[in-house]
Amino acid sequence: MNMGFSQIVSYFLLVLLLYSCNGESQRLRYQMYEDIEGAYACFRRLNGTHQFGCSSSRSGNVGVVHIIENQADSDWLVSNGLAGPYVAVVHPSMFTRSLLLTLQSSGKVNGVVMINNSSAEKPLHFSHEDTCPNRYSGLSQLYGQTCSVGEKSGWNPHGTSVLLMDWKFPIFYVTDKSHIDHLYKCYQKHNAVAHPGEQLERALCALELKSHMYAAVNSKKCMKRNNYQTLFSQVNSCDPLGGRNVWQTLFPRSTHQLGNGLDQRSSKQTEANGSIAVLAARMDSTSMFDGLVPASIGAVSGIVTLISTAQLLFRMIPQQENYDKNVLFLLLAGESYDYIGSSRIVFDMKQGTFPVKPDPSVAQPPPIGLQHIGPFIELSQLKKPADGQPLYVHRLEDSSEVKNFIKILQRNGNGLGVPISDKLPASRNLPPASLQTFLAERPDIPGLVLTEHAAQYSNNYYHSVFDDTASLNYIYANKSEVPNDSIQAYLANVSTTIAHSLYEHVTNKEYLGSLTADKNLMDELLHCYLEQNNCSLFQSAVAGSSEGEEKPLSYYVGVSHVYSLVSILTGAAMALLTGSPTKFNETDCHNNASTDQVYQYIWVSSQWNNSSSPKVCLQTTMNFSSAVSPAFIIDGYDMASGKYSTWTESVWPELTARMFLKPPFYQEVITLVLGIVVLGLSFAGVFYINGRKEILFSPGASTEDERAPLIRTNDQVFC
Amino acid sequence: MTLCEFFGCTFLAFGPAIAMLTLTIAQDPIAVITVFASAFFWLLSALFSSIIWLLFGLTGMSQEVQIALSVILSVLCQEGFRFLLYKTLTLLDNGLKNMLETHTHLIDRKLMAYAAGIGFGVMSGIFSLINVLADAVGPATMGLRTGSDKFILVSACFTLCFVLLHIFWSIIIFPALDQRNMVQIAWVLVTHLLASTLTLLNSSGHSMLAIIPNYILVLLTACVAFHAAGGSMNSLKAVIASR
Repeated sequence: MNMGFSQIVSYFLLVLLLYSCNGESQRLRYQMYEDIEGAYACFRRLNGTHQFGCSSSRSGNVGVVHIIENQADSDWLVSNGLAGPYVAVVHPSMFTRSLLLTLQSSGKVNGVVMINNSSAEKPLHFSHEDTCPNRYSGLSQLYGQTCSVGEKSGWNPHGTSVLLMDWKFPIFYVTDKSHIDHLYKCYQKHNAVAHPGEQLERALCALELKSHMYAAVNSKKCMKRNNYQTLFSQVNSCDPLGGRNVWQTLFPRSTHQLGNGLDQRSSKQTEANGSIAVLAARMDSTSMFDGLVPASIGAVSGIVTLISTAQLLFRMIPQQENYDKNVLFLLLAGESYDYIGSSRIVFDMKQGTFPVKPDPSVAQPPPIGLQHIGPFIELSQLKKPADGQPLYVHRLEDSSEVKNFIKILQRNGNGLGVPISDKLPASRNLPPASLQTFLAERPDIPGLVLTEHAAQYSNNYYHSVFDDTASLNYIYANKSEVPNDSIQAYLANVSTTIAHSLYEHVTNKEYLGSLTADKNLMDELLHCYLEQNNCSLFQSAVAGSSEGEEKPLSYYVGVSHVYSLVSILTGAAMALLTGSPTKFNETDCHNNASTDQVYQYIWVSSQWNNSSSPKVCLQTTMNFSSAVSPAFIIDGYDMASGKYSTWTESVWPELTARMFLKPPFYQEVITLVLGIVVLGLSFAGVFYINGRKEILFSPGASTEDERAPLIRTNDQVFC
Repeated sequence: MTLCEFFGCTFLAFGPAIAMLTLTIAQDPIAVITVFASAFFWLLSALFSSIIWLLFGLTGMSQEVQIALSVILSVLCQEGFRFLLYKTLTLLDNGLKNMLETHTHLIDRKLMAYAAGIGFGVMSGIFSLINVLADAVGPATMGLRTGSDKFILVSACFTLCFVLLHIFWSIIIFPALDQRNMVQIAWVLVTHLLASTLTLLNSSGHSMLAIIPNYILVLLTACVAFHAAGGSMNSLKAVIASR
């Protein structure tokens, strides 16, 4: 009986709760606002001297929607628009620097939204980067600005530098088709008028864009502000950009064992100068919008070629063999922002702390210095060139070592249908590349940059949201035969070329075996990096620990205290494809940094193309190194000096956009005036009646006497 | 932006009530207590009617029917609790009278009815408008998906209407209960039902059709209340003449 009662009560409460939740969805707000989900926002970044990007006011910027499809629409807004402020809604083809500047200087625009549903055509070119990416860093440190040398408009001919400007309004990017439809419908129903004046008389379709940024002015100011603490908490206003580099050596580097009291340093086995060849690629890119940074040509082409090359080299050279030379694979983070990853590695090399801080109590490999670097090959912006066209080698150095290596590359490439053309060193002019950072410290490094552009970038979407799968012409073969004229096959051949050449460099003999890069692996790698980051290869590499989801990766470097998914997955993929199996079980599958600083151990699926295959513990030389700019490591570094990257990203509370109807101004005024008049009349009426209540409600003997209601009030109000 | 709308509507809906509270109620402690007690009784009535609605609303009826039924139910609950309030205040008055051994009413009956009306009216007004007002603070107005952009203003007008009606109903019904005046009691019940069901027209988009008859009801009920409170044509003339 008792039980029954309590059950009824609890059931009752549950129903009450459900209904109140239901009631929530009925709230007026949901009829007044349409939240635009999945909108990408432009946000603020800062360097040592300036701020870049966008910010809204604290409570968000509100503006009347105005769709700009052509020049006439933009002119109308600038010269005729009366109901401002406006939010300009533009298509990518109209989203140009000149339009944005016009809108900004008009003073009528409170925000910009770029819309693009996939059916719309891509503009012919769309790059918000500088014409000269990383203009002030790299070799510029050594020679002054090098970009314009011999190039009329810089490396990135279509660059508009929109990314490197401080906009006074928020900018959003909407791709959701239904939201775009609603926006158009709302605009046509409420805002489209024959005469500008009509807009003043009606409720108008409006957008509120909220992307308030906490940081301002420059990195120096905001890092200083980060140190202030309030009583209860510390809220950062900006965070340094950065992440982790992935690095790996072909051969495990020998450690020096703790001996019996001898001078340990002298017995350390250090490599000979110039004995470590480096194969590097950048791992990041950028775009204007948070969370949407595809980088097919910009980063992915280099990453996958490097991974596939590493995998092939590990198959070609048995680990037991012993050579004097080694290969260092480097995947660098933050290169889009004044070479964060590479400048940190160079800094660490100079300090003698790369790859690990020296610690005499542990058996660790000796530090690698800049002098140990032999040939430095950087893979930058690869794609399949037009038939018969070569890849290009850019270099500064004209030593015999470089020339020899290029010859080896050319010989190997010719056999594989990958012609390579040697661009003779122009004076102090190298395309933007991580190699620049190394050369700035040690100009005689025999370095070369392998790209598909002879002079200016042929990638028209450099550092933009349109550098997507389509620009590589990639079609997933999904375990079936990969066509020979596909990008997969081409990049596999590039890998083979480089791997064979590095083999020759390391062993001093030509490769006579038959191993080539696996086209299906290349297919899968591209699929993982371009289309689905929960692909089977990544699933195998992280042993199903549910990293990733079914969407393309975003290649923005992010802030340094958050490890980006790109570096986690790339490191895991490198380890999976090159590691050697051990007998450890899952609980023992980890390295012990106090005894072993050569190997890492990771728990993965045994086959890369089957994530449900039996798990195994792999031993690998893959490791991560910090990619935080030295500017944030050195005490008292002068942020304005320009030596190291000082990029930071502002903290923001939210990035939201919503659509609603904005009442006309006259309606608001009328409502307010009406309210105030009613209030005033009420006071007057009540005062009047209250003073005369004895007469009005004539005192009698019965209960019908004395004070009572204020009928006159009512009359006055509604007469 | 539409902070203007927010304040405009708040003043419109509650202006008369604010004036009455500050000029006629605030000086009298017993009246203040009565206002709070009656506001509390209105809340109880809302709770009670929502519990009943919950039990009946579970049966599979169409939404229109559910709303219509719940309006009637709510009106009956409110009037029931108005009666309970009347009973409670009377009991209290009698109890105090016995305790202090006097024969005059400790609580002025007219003031009590008036204060009870204000409490009922203000609380029902807050209850019906607060959600609208909370959402009106933002930059938007109604009409993106459904409704018209006048929605908030219309809601405020209705709220004003019901605040005034509740005051008048209390003024009418308390003496009517004292005297067992069934005609006046019936008037209150019928006009309350009528006014509430008129608001059902609102959802069909014809808010003007609901507002005008409602304000006619307000005027008629005001006249009845004026009479119930002891006013007459003569007293009205006297006041005008005294000017």
